Amino acid sequence: MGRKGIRKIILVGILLGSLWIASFVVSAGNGTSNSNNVQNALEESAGKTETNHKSKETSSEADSKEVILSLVAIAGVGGAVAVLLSIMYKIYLAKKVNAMPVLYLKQKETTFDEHKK
Amino acid sequence: MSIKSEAAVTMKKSGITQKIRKNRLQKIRTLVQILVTFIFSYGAFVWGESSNIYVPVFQCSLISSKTVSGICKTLTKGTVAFSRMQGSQILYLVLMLLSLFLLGKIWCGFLCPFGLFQDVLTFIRKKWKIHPIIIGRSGRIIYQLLKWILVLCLLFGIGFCSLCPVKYIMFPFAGLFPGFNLAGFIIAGIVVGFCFMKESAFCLICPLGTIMGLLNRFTAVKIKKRGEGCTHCRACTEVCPMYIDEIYQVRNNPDVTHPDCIYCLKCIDACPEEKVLAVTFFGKTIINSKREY
Repeated sequence: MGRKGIRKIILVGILLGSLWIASFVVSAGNGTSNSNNVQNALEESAGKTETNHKSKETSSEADSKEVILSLVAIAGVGGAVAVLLSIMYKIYLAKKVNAMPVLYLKQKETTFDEHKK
Repeated sequence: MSIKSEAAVTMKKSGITQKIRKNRLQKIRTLVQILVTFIFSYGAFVWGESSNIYVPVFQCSLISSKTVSGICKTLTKGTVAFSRMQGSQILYLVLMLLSLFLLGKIWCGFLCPFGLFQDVLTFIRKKWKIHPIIIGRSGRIIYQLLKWILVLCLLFGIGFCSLCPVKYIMFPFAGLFPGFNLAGFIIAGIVVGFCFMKESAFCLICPLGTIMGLLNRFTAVKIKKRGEGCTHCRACTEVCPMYIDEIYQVRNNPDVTHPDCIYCLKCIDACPEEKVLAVTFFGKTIINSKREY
């Protein structure tokens, strides 16, 4: 990497850094919204930890059931999509391969066999 | 003596050592992915809760009050995350951004927990001997469009988190319930289906990867090609999960680093020629493609 490359990296770094600081300054200017955001975030995190603790305390079978069910649901939909995709792809391939000489030859062979019979 | 061992003896006599390095880099990559998934994701959660160690978390399901936000949360609610951070957390964020400049999308190839999940799905598909799907030219235009729509959704926070498939897939793995959202589950299922049938399918539309890809041209890690040694066998582009054709087409320019490249290093593993493809760090070669005898 030459000097130009290093210069580019430094330039992009400075640009991104200044953008980051600018966005921070702008949001700090909107004091209320920022504080609201912070509060929301703190509440969110507090809520999250609370819910985490609650779920840990109760750690009920219902929770684990929900987790397993969600996994099964995703796997089910995923499996169905995979099967659909493979069928669609096979149809697509068959359409493409139809024009190939191999199949044409095969067709000829069968017709030849039929003709022999 | 079998033919194989006879060949090995003659090769030894002639001074040629047999280099069996097929998928060697991939094994190292998988090992790093497993380690990083546990240390940086689950490890951060465990250590962050029990001690004062703060490490960047790459899985939103494990973000707690004591760990640094995930990359996507930092992007969507950057200022909030910044104002909440103190001391070591800011240092870690700066380190994270610095590493993006230094290592670029190596995050995608080596450190992403969802990347590991996709690789596991591909491993299962290969074991079951199911043929993968190949996305055609028209399909590629669609996913390129979808990718940029998702980037806009992520940057402006338009319903991204509520429908993020990674959240719905990774939450249950952390033992958490993501909440009931039919659309979210369906999207997650579709993503799982695609990832099963196509290697690293989500990487094609990953908005985080797209944003990081913008820095790919300026990062210190590069993929270089020695055009005169290339035999145009197309092995590099055939194995590429991101369908990057440039790595095969480019002849004159030694720098073949593409914004979509996730540094899975499959091209370097697949290249049968000596020192044609290489990974460089600040111009110094780290890994080379090697001739197989």
